[in-house]
Amino acid sequence: MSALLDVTGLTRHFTAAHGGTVRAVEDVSFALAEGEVLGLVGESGSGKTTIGQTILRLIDPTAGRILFRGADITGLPARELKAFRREAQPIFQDPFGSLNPRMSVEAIITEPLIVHGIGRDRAERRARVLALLEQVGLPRDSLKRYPHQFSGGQRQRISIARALAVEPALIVADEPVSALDVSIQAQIINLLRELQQKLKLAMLFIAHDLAVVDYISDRMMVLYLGRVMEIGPARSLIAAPKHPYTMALISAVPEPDPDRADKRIVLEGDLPSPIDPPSGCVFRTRCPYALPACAEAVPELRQVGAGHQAACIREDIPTDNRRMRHA
Amino acid sequence: MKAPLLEVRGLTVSFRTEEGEIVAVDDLYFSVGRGETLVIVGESGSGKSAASLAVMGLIDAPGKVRCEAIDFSDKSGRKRDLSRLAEAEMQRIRGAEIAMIFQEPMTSLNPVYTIGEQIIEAITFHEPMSGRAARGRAEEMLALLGVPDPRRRLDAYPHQLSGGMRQRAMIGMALSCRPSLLIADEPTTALDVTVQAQILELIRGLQRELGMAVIFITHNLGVAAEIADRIMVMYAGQAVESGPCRAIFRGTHLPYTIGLMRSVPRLGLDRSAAPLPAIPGNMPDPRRLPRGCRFHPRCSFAEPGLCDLQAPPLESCGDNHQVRCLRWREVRA
Repeated sequence: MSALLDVTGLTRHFTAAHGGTVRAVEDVSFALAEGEVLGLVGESGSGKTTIGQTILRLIDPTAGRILFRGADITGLPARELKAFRREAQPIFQDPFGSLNPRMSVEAIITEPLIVHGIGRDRAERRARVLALLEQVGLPRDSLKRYPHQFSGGQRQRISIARALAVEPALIVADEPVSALDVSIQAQIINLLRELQQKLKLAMLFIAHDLAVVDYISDRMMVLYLGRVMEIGPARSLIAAPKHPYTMALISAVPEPDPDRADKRIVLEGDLPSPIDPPSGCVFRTRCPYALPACAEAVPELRQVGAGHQAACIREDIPTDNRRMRHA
Repeated sequence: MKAPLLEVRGLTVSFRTEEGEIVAVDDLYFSVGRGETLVIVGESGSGKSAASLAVMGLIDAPGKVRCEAIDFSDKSGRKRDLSRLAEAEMQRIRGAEIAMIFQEPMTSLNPVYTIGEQIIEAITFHEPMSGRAARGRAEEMLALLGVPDPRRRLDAYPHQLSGGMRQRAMIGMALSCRPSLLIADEPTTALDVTVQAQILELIRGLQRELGMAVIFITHNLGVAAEIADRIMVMYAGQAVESGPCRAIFRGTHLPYTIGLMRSVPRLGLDRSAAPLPAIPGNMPDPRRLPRGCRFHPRCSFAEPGLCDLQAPPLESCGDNHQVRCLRWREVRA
């Protein structure tokens, strides 16, 4: 099957305020099939948000190629970008900051329809907006109301309806549930998954919460300082991680179990500066398994399982993940 | 039983707004023993932050605090009712005996002073000490917190530190006078998981070392399970469950707590099965609280004619374990 999205060597640098180059994303490659969910995990500064924004062409890459349905979108002029934008839509973390407070819900969801010339007249567009509201679980009387009259979870439903209005093939969701209360998170995760399955949406799901990403993703990509550490099927990546950073991330997730017995890997030190990243493997300065050789060359992603790759030169690290009771 | 370090009785916090009075905390009772960790779990609007600010005497007008007493045993062993103290006396308690840390260190650290200046100010405000001695104590504190090269970091400004380091600096400032109680309001929520793990480890270690009691406020049940001795769950301004950590995770009788535990996805969860068991609906509007049990419109155990009419009291359901549910005998996780 040909990929919906095919990203090769994606790199994005920023110029730091006091000179120097921030290497936000460095040589990232991956593919995404139609209807597939790829989860991007990593901590602040890992480059996951920058990757999402580059793919949406909200910012331009410094280098690399992004093929969407086989066509390179990196150099597209604004006019042709519009057709791409109908296919690729964002959902952001803060549904308050991303909804115009002066627009009614109807105006918010109708705007993309008008921009992309969907619907012959007002009546048709209104019917479409009502169908979208129903799809995301909002009552019909939401039409004439404004964002501030809704709770956080309901506002995120409005953002989802707006993103789906143009019937995209790809959704880039950047921390879509992390600003929500615990009891509301599950509602929105369920909604996203239900819609993704029903509409066969491809999705880049970006979040720092490993368990949420694991739940919604088919495959997962683990990032650290702008580079891919590990990529593979979500189930096997969580059950049998091959990269020491993935292991540390999994071990750091607090579990609602007071009798949890496994020993936690607590990483020493801080994230290095992305202006002056360590030579060789960027994770080696905090890696409990680092060898002198790790400083010499950037490790290649190597095959560690079916569709599963890790960027670590050591093949002798034990996978001892006692946390996986369900796997 | 030994007298608790802090005992809060009948605490009510309300705010007057244009649309009437909002009761953020409603008749709350709780206590914390010496060296104990009480975790207050709640979502937005539960009243967990307002309750802790009231203990610190930090609720300003138009907020109103009423209570029977907030009894606190100070370092000399004297029992003081914090709710009756004059502001000048409260200032002597705040920082020296009860310290507080927050989610966002940048709102607690002053950007135009170095980390060292801020910690030294906190120390010399409470203890007669030379600047040099206070600097020594500040350096010691940062070293204890695992800040590398603490002497140099004292001269850094907050923006020059990473998020985790800033959080450590704020904890350093809070602990510099060796308080007997630390109130931590979502101190790890804004941090990455690996940094969160570092900070939790740190708070646990310091607690052992300094014998300090901690009130830890969080919405994260995983964090609660890791550090709590006891847990108090709050919903819509009320304590709805309180008990030993293990009793709550192993045998809660409260539908809300069960709902929270089930709705959080866990690593390696089988997703081919049903969707996540989410709690339906939204947090109630504090101006229009539901009649009867405040959770009943979202509760799968609710019984019409009972839960929508009668407000449940906190009832004992086990050793030191209380729940606010009329049907708790029939409720199982």
